Amino acid sequence: MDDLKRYVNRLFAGYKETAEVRELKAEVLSNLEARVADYTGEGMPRGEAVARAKSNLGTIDLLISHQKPVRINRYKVELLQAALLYTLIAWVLTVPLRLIPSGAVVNTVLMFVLVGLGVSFLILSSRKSETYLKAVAPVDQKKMAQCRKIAWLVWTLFIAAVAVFISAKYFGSDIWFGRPLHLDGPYRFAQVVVSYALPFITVVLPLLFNKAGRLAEKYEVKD
Amino acid sequence: MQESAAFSELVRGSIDTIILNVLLREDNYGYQIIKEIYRKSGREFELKEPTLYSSLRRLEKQKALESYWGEESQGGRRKYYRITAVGKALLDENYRAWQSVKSLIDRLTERMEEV
Repeated sequence: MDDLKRYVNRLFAGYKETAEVRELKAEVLSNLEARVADYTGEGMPRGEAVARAKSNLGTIDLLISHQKPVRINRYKVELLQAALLYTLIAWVLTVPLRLIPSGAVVNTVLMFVLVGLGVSFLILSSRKSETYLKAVAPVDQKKMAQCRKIAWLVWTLFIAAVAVFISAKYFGSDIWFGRPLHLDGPYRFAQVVVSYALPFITVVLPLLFNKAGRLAEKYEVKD
Repeated sequence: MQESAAFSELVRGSIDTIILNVLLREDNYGYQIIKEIYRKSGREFELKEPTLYSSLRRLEKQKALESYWGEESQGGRRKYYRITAVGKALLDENYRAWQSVKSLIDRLTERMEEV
């Protein structure tokens, strides 16, 4: 029966192991086993019975709705609050980097983002009507998980690309033109370090995707 | 087993009622429900498993069904479904609705000789 178990595990591979999913898995497996036993009881070879049972099951996507009802406005407000907090931290961290021109640019941009987020947060959180707070909209949690994965992938690629680019800029002349990198003083040294460290501040973006997933669960309407 | 889109579309609206009717006789588990429907249909109609699960879940949410895990049998533990009072009322209601719809559609789609 192990092949059926493996098959069911694969079917549910993309799903979070909630109590609901665990129970459905057990149910699907028990019915598959019952069907295979039924077919083999009629004299069908086991391999064929398993294949037919599987084909009858088809895809599992119909079984579990990824569309979870979520208190959408409260979710948005808290997500906005998280974005505000993350940006604030990023802004505080980049304040010392103002000494370097690129650091100053990033810090200023973050300040504008901070103001923008702050204003929208104030506007949204000032709405207190019952209907607004209780509004429910479906959120596709599978799609959300996919977006989260993509966000981290893109971010990793971005960091890697930037690191390669910066290294080429600083050490390229040493490799190709035999001119070693000169760190003539603490400012120059800080410049190099900052240019490596600065891109990492964008980690707030994929982190926000994680937060969005957690909040969607928090504000899910359970009946 | 007929497979046309129109056929499936028409049956789909009555799946919940069909399942409730099977469970009215006795508590049952997924594959056995499918088999019972297949048998009662005169081997004409086999319910697809995904359709069965989504229907069972819908009915359970409506409190028309309750489920419980059966005792360990030779085939392993099985999840049984039991019809509730809500489910019986729903079955009655759906049955009556179907009877009136059936005669209505008959009258409206019959090809008359005379115009």
